[in-house]
Amino acid sequence: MEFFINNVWIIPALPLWSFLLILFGRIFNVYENKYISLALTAGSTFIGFISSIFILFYCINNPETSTQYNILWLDTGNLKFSIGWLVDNLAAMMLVVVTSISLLIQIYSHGYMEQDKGYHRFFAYLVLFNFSMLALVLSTNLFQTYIFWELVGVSSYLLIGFWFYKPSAAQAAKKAFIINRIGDCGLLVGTLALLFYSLNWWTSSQNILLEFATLGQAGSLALANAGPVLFGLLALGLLFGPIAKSAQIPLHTWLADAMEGPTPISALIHAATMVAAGVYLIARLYPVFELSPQIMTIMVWVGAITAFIAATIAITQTDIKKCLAYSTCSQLGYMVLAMGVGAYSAGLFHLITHAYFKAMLFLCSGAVIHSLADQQNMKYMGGLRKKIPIVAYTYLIGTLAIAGLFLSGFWSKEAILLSLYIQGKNLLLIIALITAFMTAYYMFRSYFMVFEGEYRGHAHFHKPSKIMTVPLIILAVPSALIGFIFSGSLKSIGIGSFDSFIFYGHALHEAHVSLFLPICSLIIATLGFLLAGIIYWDKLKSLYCNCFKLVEKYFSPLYKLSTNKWYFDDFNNLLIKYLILPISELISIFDKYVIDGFINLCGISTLYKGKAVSLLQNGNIQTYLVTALLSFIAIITVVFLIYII
Amino acid sequence: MELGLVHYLILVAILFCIGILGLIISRNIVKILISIEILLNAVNINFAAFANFGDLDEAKGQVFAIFIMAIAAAEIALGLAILIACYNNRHSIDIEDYTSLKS
Repeated sequence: MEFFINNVWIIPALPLWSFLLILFGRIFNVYENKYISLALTAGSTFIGFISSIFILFYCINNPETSTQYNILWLDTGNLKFSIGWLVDNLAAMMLVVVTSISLLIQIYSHGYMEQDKGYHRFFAYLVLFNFSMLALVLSTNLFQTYIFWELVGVSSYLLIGFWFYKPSAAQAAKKAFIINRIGDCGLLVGTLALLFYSLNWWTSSQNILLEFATLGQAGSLALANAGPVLFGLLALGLLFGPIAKSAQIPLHTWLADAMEGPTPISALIHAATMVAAGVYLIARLYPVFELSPQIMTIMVWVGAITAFIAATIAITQTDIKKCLAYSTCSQLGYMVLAMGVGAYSAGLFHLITHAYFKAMLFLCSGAVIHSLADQQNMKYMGGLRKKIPIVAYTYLIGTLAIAGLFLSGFWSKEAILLSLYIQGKNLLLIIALITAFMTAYYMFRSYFMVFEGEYRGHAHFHKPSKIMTVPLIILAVPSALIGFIFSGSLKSIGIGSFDSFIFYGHALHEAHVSLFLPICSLIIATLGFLLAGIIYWDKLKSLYCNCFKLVEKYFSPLYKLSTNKWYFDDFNNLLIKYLILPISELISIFDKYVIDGFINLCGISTLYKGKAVSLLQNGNIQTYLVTALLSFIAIITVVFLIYII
Repeated sequence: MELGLVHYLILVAILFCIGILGLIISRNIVKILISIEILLNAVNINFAAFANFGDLDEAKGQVFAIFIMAIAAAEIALGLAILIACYNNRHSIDIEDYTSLKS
C-alpha cells in the first residue's frame, strides 16, 4: 500500500508520457494503428485507476494521515516555489472518480470516434486532459494548482474546438477559453494577494509556499494583515476561479456552448471532471473562504441562483446536450451552495455522485446522437427505447439518480437539503426544493422526448456498437448505488458514511434523523416526474385536454426568458459592445500612438541614421580617402587636446 | 643659414600635403599614381632626414628609404599594369568611372 502512496506521481506521469508518445508517434508517422493510441491512453488510465483504488483503501484504513512530498522547483531568495504531490482523503477520492470515469469514457470514445479523421489527435488531447486533471488533484500548493488549472483550461479549449473546421466549434472553444481567463485572472490576483499578505509567515515558518495543509493559519494571518475588506476582495478573487471553471453565474455561458465538442468530451470535461475542479478548489481553499463570512454568503447565493436559473433554462432546451449541460450547471450550483453553507462533505458527496451519473447521461446522449447520425434535437427523436433498450434503461437510471428518486442523487442531494434545514436557511431550502422539482421535470421531459412515444425523426438509425454500450452498463452501477453505499446506511458491514471520511474542521454532529425532508423531496421529485409525464408521455397525455395550451399562453414571457437563457449572452454582448469595446479602443489609442509611436520613432531614427551613413558608400575611392583622412585628423586632434588638457 | 632638421620636415610636410591633395582631387588615375609617388617620396625624405640627424652610426633610415624606393617602383609598375587592364576594359582613366566598390 505504501508503495502506491510513495509512487503516486506515476498516476499523472503515465498519461503525460502517453500524450508525448501519441503526439510524436503521429508527427513521425510511426504507426497508423488506432489500437495503439487506445492502448496507450486506456492503459495509462487503467494503471492509474488501480493505484487509485489502492490509495483509496489505504486512506480509508488510515483516515487521519495525509502524505505529501515536495520538490523545490524555483528558488528566488525569499520565494521558494515547490511542486509535489499530496495524498489525503479528498485527493484519493477524486483520483478514483477521475480515473474510473476517464477510463470508461476513453473506451467509449473508441467507438464514438472510430470513423473520425482526427482519431489520434483526439486521444492525445484526451490523455493530456487526463494528465492535467490528475496533477491538479494531487497538487500540494496553490501555485502548482494554478499551473494545472491553466493546463486543464487549455486541454478543454483544444477538445471543445476539436472539430475546429466548424465555425461554431471554434467560437465555442474561444468563448470557453476567454471566460475561463476571466476567472483565472481573479484566481491569480487572489493567489498573489494572499501570498503578499502572508509572505512573512511562510518564510519564517519554513513551510512550502502556499501549501494547502497550512493554508488556514496563513489565511488568518493574511486577514490580520489585510483587514476584512481587502481580505474579502482577495477571497472573492480566489472564488472567481471556481466560478468560471464550475460554470456559475455570471460566468456560466461557456458551458452550454462547449457542447460543440464531441460528446465523450462533454461527458468527461463538462460533466464529470473539469467542472468539478472548481468545486475541488473551493474544498482545498476552504480554510481561506471560511475566514470571510461575506464570501461564504456570496458563494451561497451564487450557487443558489445558478442552480435555480440553470434549471429554468434547462426546462425549455430542445438540444439534448444543452439540456444536460444546463442541468450540470444547476447541479454544480447545488455543490457551491452546499460549500457556502458549510456543508463541506455534502457538497463533495454530490460532486462524486453527480460525476458518475452525469457522465453516464452524457454518454447515453452520445450513443443516441451517434445512432441517429448526429441528430441532437429532441424534437426529432422519440420511441428509441424499443430500438436501443440498453441506452434507454441506463438513461432512465441516470434520470432517476439526478432527479433524486432513490438512486444515488437522492442521498447526496438529501445531505445538502438536510444541512440547509439544520442551519435554518429556509429561503435557500425552498429554492433548492424548487430546483429539485425542476430537475425532475426537465430530466424526465428529456427522457420521454427521446425514448418514449413515436419516432419523429427522419435520420437513418443504426445500432451503437458494444464498445459504447458496455461503459454505460458499467457506469450505471455506481450511478445507482454509490449514494446508498456511502450514505452511512451500511455502517453495520463496515462501510462508513461519506462525511466520516471526508470532512472539514470539527468532528461531525450526529445526523439529524427525520423523515420529513426525504419524504418532502421525494414527493417533489415525483411531482416533477408526473408533470413531465403529463406533458410529454403519450400514455398520460390523454389526461390533460387543452389546459397546456392555456398555460403556454399565459406563461409565454417566462417561456421566452427560458429559451433565451435569461438573455445572459445578449447582456454580455451588449456589455462588450457598449462598455468594454469603447474602453479598450480608448486604451488602444494610447497603445497605438504613445507606445507604438515611441517604438516606431526608435526604428525610424535608426533607419535614417543608417541612410545618412550609407551615403558615404558611393564607391568613389577618393571619398573614402577623404573620410579616412578627416577621421584621422579628428582623432589626432582629440587625442592631442586630451594630452594638452 | 644652415639647413636643419626643421627645414627638411617643412619640405616633407609640404610635399605630403601636395601628395594628399593630388590624391584627393585629381580625377585622372595616372595623376593619382603620381601623387602616390610624391607621398612615398615625402616619406623617404623624412626617413633620410631623421637618419641623417639622429642615427649616424647605423643609417637604418637610409636603408629603409632604399627599400621604399624598390617597393614604390614595384607598386607603380603594378598600378600601371592594372590601369592598362582597366583601360582596355572601359576605355576610361577617369576615377569617377570606377565605382564598383559600391557593390
